[in-house]
Amino acid sequence: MSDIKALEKQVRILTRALERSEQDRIQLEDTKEKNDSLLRKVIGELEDSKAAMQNKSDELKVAIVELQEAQTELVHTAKMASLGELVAGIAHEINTPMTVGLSAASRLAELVREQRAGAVNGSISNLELEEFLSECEESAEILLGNLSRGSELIQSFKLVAVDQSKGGARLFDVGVYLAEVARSVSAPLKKSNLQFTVNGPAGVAMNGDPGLIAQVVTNLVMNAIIHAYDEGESGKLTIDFEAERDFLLLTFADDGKGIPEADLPKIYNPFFTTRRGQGGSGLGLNIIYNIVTRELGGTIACRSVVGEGTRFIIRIPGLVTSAVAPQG
Amino acid sequence: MLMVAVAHSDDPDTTFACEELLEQSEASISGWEPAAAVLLAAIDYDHQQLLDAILGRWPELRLIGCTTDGEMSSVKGFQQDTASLVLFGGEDVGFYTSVGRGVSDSGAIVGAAAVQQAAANTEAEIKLCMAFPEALGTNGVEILSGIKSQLGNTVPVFGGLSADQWRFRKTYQFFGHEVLTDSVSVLLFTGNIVTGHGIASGWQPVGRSGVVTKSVGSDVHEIDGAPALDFYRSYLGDKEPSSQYPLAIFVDAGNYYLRAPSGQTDVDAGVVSFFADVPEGATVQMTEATRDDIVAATRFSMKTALSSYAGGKPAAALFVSCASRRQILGTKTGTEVQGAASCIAENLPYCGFYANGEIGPYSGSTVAHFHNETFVTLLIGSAKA
Repeated sequence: MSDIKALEKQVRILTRALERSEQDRIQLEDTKEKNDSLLRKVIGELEDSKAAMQNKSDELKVAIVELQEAQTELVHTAKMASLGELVAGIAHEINTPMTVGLSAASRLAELVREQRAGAVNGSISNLELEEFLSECEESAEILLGNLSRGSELIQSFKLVAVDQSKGGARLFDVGVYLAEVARSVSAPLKKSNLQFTVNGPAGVAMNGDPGLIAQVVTNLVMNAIIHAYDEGESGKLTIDFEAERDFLLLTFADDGKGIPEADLPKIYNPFFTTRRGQGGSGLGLNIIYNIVTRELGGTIACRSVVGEGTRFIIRIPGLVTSAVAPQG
Repeated sequence: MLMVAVAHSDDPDTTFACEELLEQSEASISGWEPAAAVLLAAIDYDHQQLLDAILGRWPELRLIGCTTDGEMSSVKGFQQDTASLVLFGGEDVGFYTSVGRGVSDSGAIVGAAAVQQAAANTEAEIKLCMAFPEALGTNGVEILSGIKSQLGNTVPVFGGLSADQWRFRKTYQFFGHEVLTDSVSVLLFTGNIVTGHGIASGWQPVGRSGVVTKSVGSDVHEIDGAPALDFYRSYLGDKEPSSQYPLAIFVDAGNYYLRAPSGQTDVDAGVVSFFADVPEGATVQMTEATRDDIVAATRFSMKTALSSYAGGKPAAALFVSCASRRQILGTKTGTEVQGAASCIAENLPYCGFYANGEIGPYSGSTVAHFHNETFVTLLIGSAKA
């Protein structure tokens, strides 16, 4: 009897399952169709998205090429602008030794003419001869000094010129040379209200390329004039040098407005400038960085406090503290 | 101590199902008298006959429940066209039931009133609330907000919305001898009760995102300025939105909850109705789930419940899963409850059903929320002796 009851129950369950199976099948087919549609749509969206990404990628490639071309053009323009400023500065600076030299040469020629007349008359005393020779020597020294200064300026010009032509390494007195560099930037310093002093011990000599150091210092000064002070503001720029084992340690400091902390990591980046559209090319510190690290094999670090000023600490290898008096 | 017994009849005939449920129940309970019960029954039974038979045996039983989209238990596993009964007892546990009628009109007020009436019978602290609201034409979020307004955020609320085997025509709720529609039946627990809970879904957003530009409560009129139905049709073709394809409603970048269409769509106006509110201005995205995702989420739900349970040996596990999960799992629906059961002790009774919306707290919280497409686990027992 219980078997029959169980069989009857099984029949009821199967009958009910059969009734619902058609209903379930319809539901499952409906779900499947929806899933298929959903899948097709999502795949379509992914393909559209992929095509859009590809277009964006192509556009970006073109933009990168254009940007690289613009960058090259900008570097070239900046270099030419820098060269122009340099030429103007050099022309201004070279004018002084040329004028003094010309004056000394004229005086020398005049002395010789006077002496020749005296010699013809046979009226030159030993004292006059001595005075003549002293004046000649003085004029010659003035002439030599100024021609040397002119030559040095031309050499500096070559060193910092756009083709980076090198004047070659030689032994030079760091203090004397930096003093000359300071003179070469006296014109723009005079226009602003800034003082520039060079401090360091005598007899520090270096075997290296002074032209590159001149370019670094000149650019640091120009950078400070442009960025560290407002127009007409007074201030003090200093460069301290000292021997640190086999390195020359240069510390360039200003007491200007300082660099915000957020900007410090970016200051050596090419084209980073806070004065875009106001004459800033964003290449000054980049050029300094490249010369110090690549050309001179040294290091450069910057410390700055807003409102107090900025210091650049530069270490350059190749220091020679020679007893031989180097040429300035 | 909380006592639990589970019965489950797979006989589609109501008379025989009643007999089986009573026979199994009698066999499962020994030495204690059931005080409350939850009946979870397929839509095609004679529900009045089921209620009368059960209450005929235990006239004082506080009985609630609802119709389902599928049933599951430790007796028969996953089944359809069946009826399962879970009986509760225990001398140090209190049970209080009530019902709220007309939830489609004012879900929050009716939900609050139902809890208020049930709680009026006790001074004791309420430890747990089970709720079985109407699914069709109602707003699950509103009903739950009414329930929570009476219980606060420290009492876990657990339950599911009644279902009718994916027909979306008429569902029923049970309260004592009454077979009701448009109502919410509640069962409150007091006394020596400890609970643990877990929840997981498995649905993932796919496709483009849109913004809900016009919605009124649970009716979404426009997405991205076009009829909401167009958004669905762009993914599902000419098929109408159904609850297997909920929208991910983004709370912020990366965090979202799910809202499932209720199957009631105004094709002419392009308005899609959901089981609960979809806020205007919300960023939404289509979602989908694979069977593996669903089953993995079920295990996660169970494990979370186990880790949050701090009582003695659990007396039972109760599950509420979403009808949409069953729809996606198809012939593999049984693996879901098997996966959950594999995480618990072999002889632990469990019972549950597939619903049109789930209620339960998120993991690590006691604040209940209304969910779609989820598997909610509740572990119940008493404090360690």
